[in-house]
Amino acid sequence: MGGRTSISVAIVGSGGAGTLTAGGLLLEAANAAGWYGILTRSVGPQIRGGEAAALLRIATEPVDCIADRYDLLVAIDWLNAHRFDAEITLAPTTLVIGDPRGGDAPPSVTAAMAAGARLIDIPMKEMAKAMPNGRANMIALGVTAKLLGIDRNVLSDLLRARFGAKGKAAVEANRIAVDAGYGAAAQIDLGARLDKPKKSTSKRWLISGNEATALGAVRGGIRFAAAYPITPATEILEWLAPNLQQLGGTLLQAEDELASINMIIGASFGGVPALTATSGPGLSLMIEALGLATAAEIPIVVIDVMRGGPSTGIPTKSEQADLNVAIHGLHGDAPHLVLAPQSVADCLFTTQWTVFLAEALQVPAIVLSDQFMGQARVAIERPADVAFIGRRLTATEIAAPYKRYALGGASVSPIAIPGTLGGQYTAEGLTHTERGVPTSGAADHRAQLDKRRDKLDRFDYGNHWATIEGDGEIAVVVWGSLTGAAREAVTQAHADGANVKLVAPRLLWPVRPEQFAAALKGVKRVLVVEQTHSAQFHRYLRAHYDLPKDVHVLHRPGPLTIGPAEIHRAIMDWSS
Amino acid sequence: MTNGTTSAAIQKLHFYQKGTFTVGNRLVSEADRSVQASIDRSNALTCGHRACQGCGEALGARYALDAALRAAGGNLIAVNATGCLEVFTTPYPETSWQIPWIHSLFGNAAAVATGVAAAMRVKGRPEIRVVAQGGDGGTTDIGFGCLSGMFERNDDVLYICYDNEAYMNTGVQRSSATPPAARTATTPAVGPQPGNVFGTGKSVPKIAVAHGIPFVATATVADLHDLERKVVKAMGIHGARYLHIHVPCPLGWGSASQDTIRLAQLAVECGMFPVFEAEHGVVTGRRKIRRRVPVEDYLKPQRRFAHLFTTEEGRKCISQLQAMADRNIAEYRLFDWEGDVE
Repeated sequence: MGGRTSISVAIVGSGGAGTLTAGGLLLEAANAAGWYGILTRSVGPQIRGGEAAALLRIATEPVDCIADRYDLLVAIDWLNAHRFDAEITLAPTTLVIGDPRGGDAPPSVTAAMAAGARLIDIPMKEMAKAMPNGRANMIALGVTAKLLGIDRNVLSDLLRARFGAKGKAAVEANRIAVDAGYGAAAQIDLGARLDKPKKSTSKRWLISGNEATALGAVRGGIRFAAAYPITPATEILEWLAPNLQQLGGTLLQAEDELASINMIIGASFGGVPALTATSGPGLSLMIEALGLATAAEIPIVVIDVMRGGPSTGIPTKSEQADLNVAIHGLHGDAPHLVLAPQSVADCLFTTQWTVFLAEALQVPAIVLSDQFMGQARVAIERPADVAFIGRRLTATEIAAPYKRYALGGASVSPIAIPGTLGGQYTAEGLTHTERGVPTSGAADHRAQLDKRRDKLDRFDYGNHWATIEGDGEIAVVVWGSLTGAAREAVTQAHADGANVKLVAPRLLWPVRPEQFAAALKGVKRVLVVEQTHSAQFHRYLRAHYDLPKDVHVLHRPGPLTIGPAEIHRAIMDWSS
Repeated sequence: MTNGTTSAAIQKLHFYQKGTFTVGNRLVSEADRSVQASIDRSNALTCGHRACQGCGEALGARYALDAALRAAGGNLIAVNATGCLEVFTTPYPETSWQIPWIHSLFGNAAAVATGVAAAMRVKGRPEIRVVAQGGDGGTTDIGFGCLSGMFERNDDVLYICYDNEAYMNTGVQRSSATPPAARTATTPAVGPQPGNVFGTGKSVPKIAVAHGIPFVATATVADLHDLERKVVKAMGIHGARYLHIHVPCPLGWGSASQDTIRLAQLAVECGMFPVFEAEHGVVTGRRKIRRRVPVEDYLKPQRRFAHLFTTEEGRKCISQLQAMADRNIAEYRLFDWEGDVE
């Protein structure tokens, strides 16, 4: 029997049971053994005592999404497992490992068992109690690692590296617990076997989307960040705080989102590329200042790691529903940039490119990441270095009088950094003349609105504006973190003999009507896939692009992600 | 002898905070006793919440809200800013609130409370009282503007700030109430001045006093009787009132769960957290320090200050923190024997 290219595992437990630690170590172990993988988490908003699930997919190739169904569910306990019943779909082939002392299995498990799923009891809590400092989550880690076929020595090395600082006793206690897990799983057959890892010579990275975003930002030239804590964007500032300091930059934690965005406007006016990171509610607060940055032509970057909304919504889970506010939320006619990364690794590229674009075009840019990408951790090949580094057109030798907002040419006029001889001007949110002097005249208003529109429209964004793959009469049009799932669905459809194209715009605003039309050439049917309740992306496409008559929309609010099998099913139902 | 006469003769021993000391009920007059042990105590905040072990905020909120509910004769509406208290008291599928309660956004509990109070005025129901509450982030940072507006208009709201000195709910980031030198996720212990910056500080109680509102007080979970008394006093007054309660956080401070009360007490005794009250812009009362201790005693049990004890820079930070505490003590005249301890 041939092996599988990926296996999906869920480790669940009540908050504090250590599921996320076990999940993290499992991903590291799989990576050390040569596989790739993705780890995402489902947690409640509680600080402690809620529920936690580590959702993993270990694979022979890099993966950008989790699977629709789980091959293995390991429950350290069942106390709050019913809360993510809907997020962890089981199949008749699923193997469930539970602790008989861990409470009653939720209805989803009993239903799966009725359909043929196996439940095997391992008394993890009792076993842990019998060991000095034994932890049930480490036993669960051992069980899972054994079932996946990860070498025991790989885990031993990892435990030494992870717990070495806590002393020999801690390493030993964890090793004993992991070994007990290997022992307990010795006679159990998972029912599926992961193919041997492929030899890879390149350097591997273990990185989360938020870390990749922060790294892309500093590579693009960001040297100042101001931000206010908000789930699920906080890791970006936590990464930037020590790293900006090492690069000679600074992070300031502001007293609210109004302060943080205005701080970066100030910093950028002062000549330092600047960024803030937030989530939906924070973006809403920042909108007024985005108008100022647009009018005064001050480049800034705002990362929005989207979560379930509106209001406090579901802070710990993902959704794509900030698309409308990012594109249409600004007051007045305010051309700006909206971009969306397409995977954890792409967070690096897209953020770096966004810094470049914002600086080149002297415009505010919003990057729409989301909780899924932001907080997922992946084992990937080291991403290729990117040449995009933010450089703004500055005025150095100035022939008097200096016209900061000069018309004509490419519509991007040189900025004089404060202190430039002869470059004094008033940076102005009031409608202004070419020199920046406030005016309420119709002609000036029109001229500056034209300038701000034209500089974005005339810019050559190259091929990076979208991911376009494959060919066929059906196109799956998708954006953001769902791109990975769509790509897998398209690949599967090819294997089934259906020709399907993947179109995923990375640059959402301004729109690219000509390029989009070219991408859809020959396409007769379009399947739109998005994670919103009101089909925001579909409405956006309808408003700005020509779509064929035949359009299906697969959309759903968060936090139930849309997996590759579901997209594949939608394609196949339609193509047959 | 019957059982009845036995139980009537033996008075059960309860312990109460009296000043900075704990005493048994035989030493406290009936009127001074906390009602928390009584079976007819009010229940604004009950079981079912998910605070961490040793959470100072859960304790402070329960005493404050229960006292307010009693004082209002059961007619109380609470407005709650986003923060730990809001998160841990409303975990799906439970809530521990037994009163009408609205979750505002992060920075506007004071404004929402003003609106609720206005509605009661419009409806001719002035006996229904309004409490707004938030953490130090929601109060001293993002909610500061709304709070000042509520003070300045003298809106009929009691605002309670539970100060655990950082954004704990999002994973311990500094706020403007975080003490200098403390390590948080956004103020790492690196560089020549490790941890949070030595800024100029931001005493929101003092700012509240400067607004000249009818009543301002600080309190701590180390002295629950004093806390209850201040709540009752505040509820007896109409207009804007402000109560700032110091609530240690084992998770964010890196302290042992059982040390919450001890740390709250040490914060008072070393001078880092002055306990005082003021009416109409004038300080009218203060809790004197009976047993003064150096700030080191307060800092030592907290991991967020651990880096101060290992380097020369850290030592300098400790003496700067001691100077801060000394300034508090001098400013609020918290200690009668200046120079008694080094």
